[in-house]
Amino acid sequence: MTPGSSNPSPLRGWRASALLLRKELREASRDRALLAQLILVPLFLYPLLGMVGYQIYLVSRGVSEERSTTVWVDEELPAAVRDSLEARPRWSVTPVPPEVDGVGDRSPRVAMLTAEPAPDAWLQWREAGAVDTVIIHYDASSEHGRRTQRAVASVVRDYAEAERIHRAAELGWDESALQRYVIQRHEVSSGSEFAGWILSLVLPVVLLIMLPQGAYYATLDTIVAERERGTWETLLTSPLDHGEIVVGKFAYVVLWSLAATVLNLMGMLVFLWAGAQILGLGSAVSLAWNLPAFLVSVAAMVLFAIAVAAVMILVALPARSYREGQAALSPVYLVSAVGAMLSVTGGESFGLTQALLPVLNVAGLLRSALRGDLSAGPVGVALLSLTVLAAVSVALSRRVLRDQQVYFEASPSLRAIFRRRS
Amino acid sequence: MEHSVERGSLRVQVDALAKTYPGHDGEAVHAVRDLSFECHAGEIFGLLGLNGAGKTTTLRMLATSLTPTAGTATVAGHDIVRESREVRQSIGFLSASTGLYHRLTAAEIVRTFGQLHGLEGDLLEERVRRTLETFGIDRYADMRCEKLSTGMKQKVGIARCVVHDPPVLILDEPTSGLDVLAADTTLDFVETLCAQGRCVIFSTHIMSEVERLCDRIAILHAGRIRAVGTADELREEFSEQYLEKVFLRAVSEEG
Repeated sequence: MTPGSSNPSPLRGWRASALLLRKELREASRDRALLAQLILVPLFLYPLLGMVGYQIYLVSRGVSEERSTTVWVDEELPAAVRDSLEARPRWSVTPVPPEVDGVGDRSPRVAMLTAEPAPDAWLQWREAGAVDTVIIHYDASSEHGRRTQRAVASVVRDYAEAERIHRAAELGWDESALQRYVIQRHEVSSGSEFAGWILSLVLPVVLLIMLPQGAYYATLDTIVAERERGTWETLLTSPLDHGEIVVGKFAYVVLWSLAATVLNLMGMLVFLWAGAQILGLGSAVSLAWNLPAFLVSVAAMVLFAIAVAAVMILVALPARSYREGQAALSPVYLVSAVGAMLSVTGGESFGLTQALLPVLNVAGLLRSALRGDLSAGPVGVALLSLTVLAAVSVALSRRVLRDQQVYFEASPSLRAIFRRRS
Repeated sequence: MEHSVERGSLRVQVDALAKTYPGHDGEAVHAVRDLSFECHAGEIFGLLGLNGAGKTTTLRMLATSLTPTAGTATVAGHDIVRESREVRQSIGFLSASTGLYHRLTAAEIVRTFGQLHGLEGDLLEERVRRTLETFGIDRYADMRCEKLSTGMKQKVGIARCVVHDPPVLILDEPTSGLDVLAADTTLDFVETLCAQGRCVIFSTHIMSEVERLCDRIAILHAGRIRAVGTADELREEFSEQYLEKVFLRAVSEEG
């Protein structure tokens, strides 16, 4: 028997690509950084964000702060206003201290800053005939100062309203004639509509940030690391042909980015659900996502994953090290992240213009699906636009992957590769 | 790995092979020019040359990872351009970098490459087991490659190359970066593989390796073969006692 005489035929086509994919997944499953990105981020990111958000909410409402508040007031201040301010818990209202000379001449800001202890606000009341002026001096660089200002303004508004009613009564006017309209608010959305609206704000952002992040790490692992550890040649001299290598690598990046996205979406949904239960909104919130909207959203997500994977593989191929790979991939990631930010500030409607723009159309389509207002025209345009982007990206990355020199040149560049091809 | 050796049959035939790259200044860079040689079963053919002589480019063309710009070559009877997959199925290629996946174990790497070559089931497991035993790495079979010594990694690299029992081995400076002991072990394996009837093409710039291993030698310089023959034939041709002197004269002569 001579060497090689008893060998079967090599694997071909999908089976060969599937074997390469399995190898990539096995390697990835042993990389702690990759696993941390895939599993720990969805597990901890949303609860942490929730805790941060809750703290911001508490601070903005002044709930968490036990600090006392001091307000300086002029002598002209009406007693009713002073009483209302003093009635607030842990508030003390004091006249401007005598050691602060020349109240009318010195800047209240300087007086506030030099006084010990400094007041949180200084309320000046100037009677000037028909319309009195109320000046609230406060420190905007302090959260407590801003909150004090809002509270003082609220007290003064209430006093002004009470005064208006009192004056009207003195003049013998019917107060209700002056108050012609009263606004009452009734929330009419269903639980599913409300949940859809909340999710439509959050899900596109998670998708546009987490999917490229998954692709980012997977591309570094499967493309850049291949050059850094010198294994491209091992693959290129195996029975795999270029097409099978492209499909295997590509499938790995797409699968990894989709897995990262799905895990993040699940982590976020679990967190929102738990939050709704804690806030007692559990029974009021539900999500009704019909099958066509679900399928359209999945199609958009998969097409976007394919396009992102292709673009990232394309730009990462010439990188000679992780550092170069990160520098090449970061702009792609940033484009998607900026798209995520724009999607939050975008308008309500998902029109044809937005449907044409890659990245933004994914966010718009997902938002419309969640709000239940999908319309055929923009959906068709968005899916077509994403398909074209994915096809062009795949064709370009395949073209670069087929260039032999990209694997062996000391410093390959995309420009040189495309010029060579043309 | 036991084989009845079929020595002498033609395994690699190279005819006027050339590779030209576009240079940065627009002028063509001739990495390899008009290269012709042949190699038979049971023979170790050495490519000897300085860095940049064209050794690696030649081996990459034979392994089909680079396409020649002119000339032809067949490996195990298959044309390197038209039947590139069949060529890759018939070769084991090893470079100095070992080309191992650090997060996979030795056994997983050998098994994966066996599978890529179409091995499966009991035949695959038997080949993996025997290959690991042959190279003395069965004790480390389940250890990740990142934890192996450089010498061990090179053994795993060779095991990966031969698990599918290829008739042709292409070794590109396989001892580069190895210590004396690991290099000696690697050369022992190359001799063993040749004795089993494989055709081995071996590139190096280390004279002692050439003297020890190669049945015939081609001295490459600036992409061309300057001299080819056995070590004795080359010494006689250049009237020099030492192969180093032969090499230095071959690469310094014009033309």
